Amino acid sequence: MTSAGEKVTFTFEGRTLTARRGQSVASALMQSGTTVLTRSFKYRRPRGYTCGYDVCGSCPVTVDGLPGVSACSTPVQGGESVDRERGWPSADRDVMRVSDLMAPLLPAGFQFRLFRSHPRLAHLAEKVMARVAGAGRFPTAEAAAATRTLTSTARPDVLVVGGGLSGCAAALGAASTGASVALVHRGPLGGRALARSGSAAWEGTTTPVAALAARLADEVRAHEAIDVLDGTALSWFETGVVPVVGGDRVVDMWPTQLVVATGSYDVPGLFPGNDKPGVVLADGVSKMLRVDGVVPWRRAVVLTDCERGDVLAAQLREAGVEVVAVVHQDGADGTLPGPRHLTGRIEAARGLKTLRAVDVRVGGRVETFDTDLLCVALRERPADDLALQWRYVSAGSPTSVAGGWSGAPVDEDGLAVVGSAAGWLEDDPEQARAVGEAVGARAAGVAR
Amino acid sequence: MIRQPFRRWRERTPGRRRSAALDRRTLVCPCHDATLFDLRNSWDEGYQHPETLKRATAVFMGPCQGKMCAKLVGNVVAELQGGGEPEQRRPSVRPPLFPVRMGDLVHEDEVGGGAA
Amino acid sequence: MTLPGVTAGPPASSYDVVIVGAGVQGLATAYELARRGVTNVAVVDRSWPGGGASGRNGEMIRSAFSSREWTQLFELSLKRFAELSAELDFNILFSPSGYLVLASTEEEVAGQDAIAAAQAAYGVETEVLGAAQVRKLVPHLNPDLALGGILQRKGGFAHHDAVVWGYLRAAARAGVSVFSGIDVLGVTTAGGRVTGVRTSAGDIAADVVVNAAGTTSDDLNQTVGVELPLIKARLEMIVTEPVKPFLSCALASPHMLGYCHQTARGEFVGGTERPGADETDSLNTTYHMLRDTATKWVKLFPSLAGVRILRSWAGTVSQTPDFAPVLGEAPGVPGYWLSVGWIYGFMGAPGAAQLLAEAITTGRVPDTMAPFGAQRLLDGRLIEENTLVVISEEAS
Repeated sequence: MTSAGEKVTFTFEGRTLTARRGQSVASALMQSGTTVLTRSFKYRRPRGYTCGYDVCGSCPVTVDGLPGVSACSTPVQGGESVDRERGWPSADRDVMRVSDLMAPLLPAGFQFRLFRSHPRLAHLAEKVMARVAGAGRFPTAEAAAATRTLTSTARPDVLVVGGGLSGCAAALGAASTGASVALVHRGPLGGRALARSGSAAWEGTTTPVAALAARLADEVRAHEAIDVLDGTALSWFETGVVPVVGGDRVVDMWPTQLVVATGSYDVPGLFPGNDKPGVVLADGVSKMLRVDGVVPWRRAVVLTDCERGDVLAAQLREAGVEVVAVVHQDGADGTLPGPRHLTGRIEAARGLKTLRAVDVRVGGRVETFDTDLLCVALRERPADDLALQWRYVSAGSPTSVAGGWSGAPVDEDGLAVVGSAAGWLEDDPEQARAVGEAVGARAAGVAR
Repeated sequence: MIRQPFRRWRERTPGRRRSAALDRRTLVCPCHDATLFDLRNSWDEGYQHPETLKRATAVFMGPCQGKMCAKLVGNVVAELQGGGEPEQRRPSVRPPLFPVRMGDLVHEDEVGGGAA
Repeated sequence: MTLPGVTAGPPASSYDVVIVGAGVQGLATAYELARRGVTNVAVVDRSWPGGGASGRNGEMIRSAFSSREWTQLFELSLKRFAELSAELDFNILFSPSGYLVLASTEEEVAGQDAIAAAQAAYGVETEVLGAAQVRKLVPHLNPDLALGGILQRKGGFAHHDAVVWGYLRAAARAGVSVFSGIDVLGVTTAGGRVTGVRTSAGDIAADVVVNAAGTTSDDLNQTVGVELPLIKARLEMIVTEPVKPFLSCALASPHMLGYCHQTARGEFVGGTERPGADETDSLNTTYHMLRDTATKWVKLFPSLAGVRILRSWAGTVSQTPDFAPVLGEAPGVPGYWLSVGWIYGFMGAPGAAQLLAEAITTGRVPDTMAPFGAQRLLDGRLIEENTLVVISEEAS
């Protein structure tokens, strides 16, 4: 048996790679110099590590025959076999890259014009496109059989979805009222906060957020009244059930009160080449440096529209990466915090296969920075999907509900939203705990 | 060295064609390779409702189900709408919240029984 | 504007024909009317065209049923599907890859020959497949459940949105006006005859009103006192991530009450049903159907266990006691035409629209359409069809 952090080996496309047990597959691959993790669906553009949290779908690999496994969020166990699943002859050199050159002929909806007067040709073209599209292989029955699960049922007073700083604080608050609490979280408890800089107030002292998240995660794990589940909530369904899928089981949760603490999503930048391997979202950068402990970049340009730019620049410098520019998007003309800070916009991210340079338009001129990382540190968007589904159920339809482009806090009887999922701009674990206490008391009122 | 003259050449080419070419390299939906050009083009064609724009361009329909593109699509729609009342509805968030393997949802008792 | 072809601005005060519902039925009917020279037509919808069951179905197409009535109606539709891309100047991605009705029990296998013989008698070509042939056609099927099947090679599937968009564009080019975002509040009559509709955008006069309002068609019937046994029911489907092609044809399993196909994009799209109608007009998907669908499809395709579901969708239909549609003029209300009660509406639209337009323009009911009149339901003369993937309340 090996424990977390021990050296293990795994197979990557026939090569044997060494990694620390528990680090993400993506970080292990990047350590070995693999930056192209897959090819995109239509134009077969090279894609690499982007979001770090299994959100963007840009790093599916096949692990032991099972396709669509997120390299960024799957820990290395040791002994497994990992393959990239798109591109021929390989993801690095894909002959279908030629489809990108034909992009002007292939806008969205091109298929509705294609061979419309020649049904046989149209059908043939469709078959060819289906073979060519960048998709995973159909799994073998053996690989698929490993996914079977057992179902159980639980009726907690309070179900907290999301085990980041706010989720843990809310769970502790609810548990302090005597309520039974279940907390669902994917990946290491503490979530994105474990990789963050900055500090927050807690019990009269100001504490670094990462350390506080780790501490609250420990308290949650140790708390008798809190049941921690590693998995994802499927949805809020009409009957009031929130099924949780994780590991080898499904737990049908029937909570009295639901607390949504699902955090936030990073928002990508909108510029040519924004999908190139090497263009990485801020939380993905933090996780790679501070959780996986891997530094796969030498130089960095940071794009930002808020205070996160400084934070990420500091994290990168701390890890030994040279920050060549911090680009403040839509920034004011006032004084910039440092010599490498400038106000402008990204004109293009360039590089044939992976990022090589970033063109930045500053006033009337364009400056080019050679770099292998463009860290996109824009203001995050609340992860409000679960809260929206709550609304769909009460409205009886998912199509008539307003809101949700950029998040809308929801607070109704039976539901509370805390932390960045509710659009809070600052970490405020004490406020989250207070909401947890109120919800716990409310659950007790309903249950007894 | 080659970069400078090449960029100057690019900037001299007619504005619109250049901006279309750049829009084609600007990905809004990485899951289905829907570009800024696709969104603008479909909007101009008449797909001017969040739900129909979604169906025309396949944004919101890939593995991320809009987690990456929601904000970007919202911004682009607001820009394309011009100064009018901003569109408040986004395409619906369908279950499951994250992709889930079909095997994870199998009723074990039913499959285990093997009764055909 | 919500889609290319939708009319900007408010509706006029009168049209020759007003069609309520811009789903595939309403738009196809408008298009077929225009083909016959009736172009002063308005199609009115409360939401975006195709936003109801037209864009929330299994996309599958066949004409191989067991009854003469169904077979003939859907054979007409199937022929139209093959012509539509060229005619509408819009590729509807019709894929005639075959439609297999799977036999999973000895009893089903034993019944196959009789069904195929009846289909041959009605002029539909099908092949009875043995276990080995089925496994060759669909190699990933669980062999225990692949005992036989009836294959209609000309059947298949099409892109449901593309069919709606194609009809919409073609109808608009021919002069039809299509309005979205307008609620039809009721049908107006004078002296027992239809005079038009009341809408949220004012009254619209018309001598002919067609009810193609899908789930809400019964609500419209109520406004003119047309009482038909229609119930609202919800159907649900799942979509997986794209995978390389593994299933070439459309497949239905009466044993599992399921139907599925793989799209050109590589997504597996499948639905199942459970005994009894899910009587609601909610468009939210449910947990028990998600599990039901996953369980049944993994049973049929064990490898699917390893494929990820990306999303689910729900659509609502308004169904009749015999699950067959109601086509024709409403009893007792001249000028009020019905294309309602569809559960196979996407599949049947091209044919039904052609028949309906013919009946409206000529005043003669085509033979293929006659059995689907509303009177059958009032008289209790139900159409018997045994190959539907639905289960009735009584049978459960």
